[in-house]
Amino acid sequence: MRFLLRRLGFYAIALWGAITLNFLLPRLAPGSPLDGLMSRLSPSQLAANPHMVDNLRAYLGVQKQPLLPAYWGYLKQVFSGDFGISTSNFPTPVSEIVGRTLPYSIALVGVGFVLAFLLGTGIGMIAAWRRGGIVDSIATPALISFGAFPAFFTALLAVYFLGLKAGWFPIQHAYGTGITPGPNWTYAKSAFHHGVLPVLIIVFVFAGGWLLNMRNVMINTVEEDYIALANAKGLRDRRVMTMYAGRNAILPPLTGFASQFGAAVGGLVFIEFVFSYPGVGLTLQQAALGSDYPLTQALLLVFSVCVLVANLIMDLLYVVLDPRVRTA
Amino acid sequence: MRSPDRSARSTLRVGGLAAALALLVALAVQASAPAAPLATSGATAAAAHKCLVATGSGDPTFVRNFNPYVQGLPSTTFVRGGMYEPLSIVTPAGGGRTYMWLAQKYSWSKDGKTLTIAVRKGVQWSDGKPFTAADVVYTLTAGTQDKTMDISGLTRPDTNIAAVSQKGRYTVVVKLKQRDSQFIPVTLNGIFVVPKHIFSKVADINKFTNPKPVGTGPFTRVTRFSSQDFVLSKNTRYWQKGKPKIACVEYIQASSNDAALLQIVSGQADWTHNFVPNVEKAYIAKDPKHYHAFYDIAAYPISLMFDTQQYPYSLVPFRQAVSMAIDRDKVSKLGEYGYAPPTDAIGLSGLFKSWISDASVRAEAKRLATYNVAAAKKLLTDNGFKYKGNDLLDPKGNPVSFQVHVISGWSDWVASLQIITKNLQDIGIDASVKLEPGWGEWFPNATSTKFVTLLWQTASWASPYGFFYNNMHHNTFVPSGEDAVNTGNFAHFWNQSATTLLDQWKASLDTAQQKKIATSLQKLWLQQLPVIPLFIGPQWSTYSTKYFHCFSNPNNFYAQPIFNNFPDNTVSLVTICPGGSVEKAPLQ
Repeated sequence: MRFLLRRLGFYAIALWGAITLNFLLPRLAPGSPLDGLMSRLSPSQLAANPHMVDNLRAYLGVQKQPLLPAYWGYLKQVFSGDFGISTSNFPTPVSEIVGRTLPYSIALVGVGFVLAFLLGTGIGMIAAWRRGGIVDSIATPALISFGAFPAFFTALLAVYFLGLKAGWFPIQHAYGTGITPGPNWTYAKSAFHHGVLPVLIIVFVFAGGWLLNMRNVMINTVEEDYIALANAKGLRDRRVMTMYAGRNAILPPLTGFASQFGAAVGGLVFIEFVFSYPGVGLTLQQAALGSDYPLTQALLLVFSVCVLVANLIMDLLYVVLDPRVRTA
Repeated sequence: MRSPDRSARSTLRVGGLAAALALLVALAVQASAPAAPLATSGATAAAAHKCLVATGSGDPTFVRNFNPYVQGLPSTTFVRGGMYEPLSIVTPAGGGRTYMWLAQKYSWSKDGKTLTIAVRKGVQWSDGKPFTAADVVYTLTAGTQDKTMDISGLTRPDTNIAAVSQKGRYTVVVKLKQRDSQFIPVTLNGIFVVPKHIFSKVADINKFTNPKPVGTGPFTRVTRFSSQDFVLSKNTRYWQKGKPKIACVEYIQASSNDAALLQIVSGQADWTHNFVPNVEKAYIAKDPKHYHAFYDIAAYPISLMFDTQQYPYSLVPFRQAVSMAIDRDKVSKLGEYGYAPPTDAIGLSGLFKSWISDASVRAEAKRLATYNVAAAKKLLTDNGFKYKGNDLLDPKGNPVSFQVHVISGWSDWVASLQIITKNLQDIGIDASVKLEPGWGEWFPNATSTKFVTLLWQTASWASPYGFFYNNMHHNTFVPSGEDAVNTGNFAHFWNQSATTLLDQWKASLDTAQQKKIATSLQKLWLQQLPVIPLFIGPQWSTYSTKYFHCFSNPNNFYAQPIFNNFPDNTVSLVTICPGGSVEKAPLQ
């Protein structure tokens, strides 16, 4: 119980830090929301709308208030759940945009990241159990070399060869352009089909790291006395591998899972950009380019909360998996 | 603790994962099977490709907003032109054309100060209500309801409109303070008529997202809207019989130029306006029968602009020498891939060629734009500039040095500026290119010319008057260091005789008289050279005739080929026809 309380206290402070950073970072970058809006207009469009600049300035003027009052207002907004209006999509509320784009990203990153973890640790476990075996000598170097490339590079290669050249996968978007999203089979099939390639890329880019991590820990675990004992008891090989060695070896990678979640979000921006996937990663990229402070802040907050929640879940899982923590 | 059933579950989990992966791969292969032949089989693909598909670049995820007074959002792409239509269209396309649209006829009073607009009869709003003169009067005077709606400029202090009134059901009378030859081609060209019965009830136009658009235009029905695409379908009450010829227009999301290129190369999108370097190979060669590009050079020049209020850029010989020192052919060929032709020193050769009628003006414009290092140096030394070694010193004895700032992603401009600065170094100017990471760093300083020099263009208006007005008239002048984005006078220049000539041009409704004034203005322009035109900034258009044809192209140049360029896009949207067509059309 004390362990949990201490962790919760820590998360409260971390959340405050994240909220404050989210507020400061976009404002440290040059440009203003107005510049962001103007960058999308051609000189002739500007000439055709003489009053537009002045009107927008009047409406977005609120953004120019000094830092401290702005920070105070922002804190109040965050805790009342009101994230304001997106300046680059004026006058659409931020919550509407986040609500529409978040599910796609959660599906993409959630499925991709969990699959990568399971695949990586699974193969890592087998690779360590039979060092130098077939799995170890093929899967280990293959997955590690995949992981060595930046996510967007792998994504571009995949789009070009598997999408454009071979025509196996759609190259853009989250579902077919002729389809209206809704709870129907056509949409589900199309969304699934469009998600396969991005998910596969996430899996292959991140699995290598987990594999190495798991393999390293597992190699030490295999040498422990209780493994020899389990073998001596005559338990089946697979049972010793998963329940004796695997269960103990997975603790460090599990901790890493939560911290790696942040890196996954970074990779998400690139992957969504390459695939024009209408998720929060692409939205964040465009919002940051357009100096859309309210939208950028809200998205960064969503990401920070996700990472913190993932950590919290890992802490709770730890309690289940490692009995030593419970008494501490 | 380790009960047997838990270990059984865990092996099941590992097995389940393998099965899930296998299923994933199997499904992926199966699901992709029907997608592969899309690129080759025509009949089924054409059935699926019902809408004309356009795409942009760097668009955010789509947010629904069809407010015609908002610009720059993906959703507003077709709002002006597709939903709300102009009174008339004056376009420089095809050597200059005029289309009467919601206005049937214009007639000027004898003194040239009263314009009578005969409004077209038999037009309906898409909700079934009749379109009348009341809607036109409302549109022209909407600025009194909210300044955002003031497209006619009625509420501005310098407005030339004295009164707008309705006479009967189908006649509008506009009274002007002074005669204005630019009223139809410039002021009315930007007007899109909105329904009075809808917009007069909008409380705050800036917060209005126009969820159910009602317009007279060809595509008023929003039949699909999602984060990545939207479809506008045919207005069944459209006033032109048999038009629009296509059932719907669709706009799809593209995160970048590369993403858009993928969409057009794969045939998913039909029409884009992104610059494609080496378009012959990157796009046209993929399907030469159907894939085309139209790099329209009926466009304004890109010019090198100096803050003419600052010394020594305020000296005319300096600007003229810079003009002669730049190798425009090389800039065009190497910097702009040969797609943007070099200009003379006036810069209207692409857009308003017929307006430059005087032979001596043409010769002088050519001379000032001809690459000639020796003549440039001589002009400088004749006017008090000196050389110290290879470095140029201004008449006050200070070395001449400046940086041209440009956004690093604008690769063709970066390349062009590298050639330009090299040219300027050859006449002893310490010029260099400074890269800026993005719009936010570049734009605010550029338009106020805090950066002294700028590669940019002035506003695109449908008459040559606007070009001279923006660069030379006293009304557009903005003091040095202040933002010129509202007037387009980025060089902070004005001239008394030019102002007088422009006022005469504006007041003259006689074309012959206007051309005479234009010639005097051109002479003055060459004597003063407020900005230094370098090359034409083409309007990029790539289009596919695989599923649709009748696009504006050099063989049939009926409108500017840009789908979001109001009012020309209105003509394109009702002219483009369904069905594939094997065509051959030149690039320019």
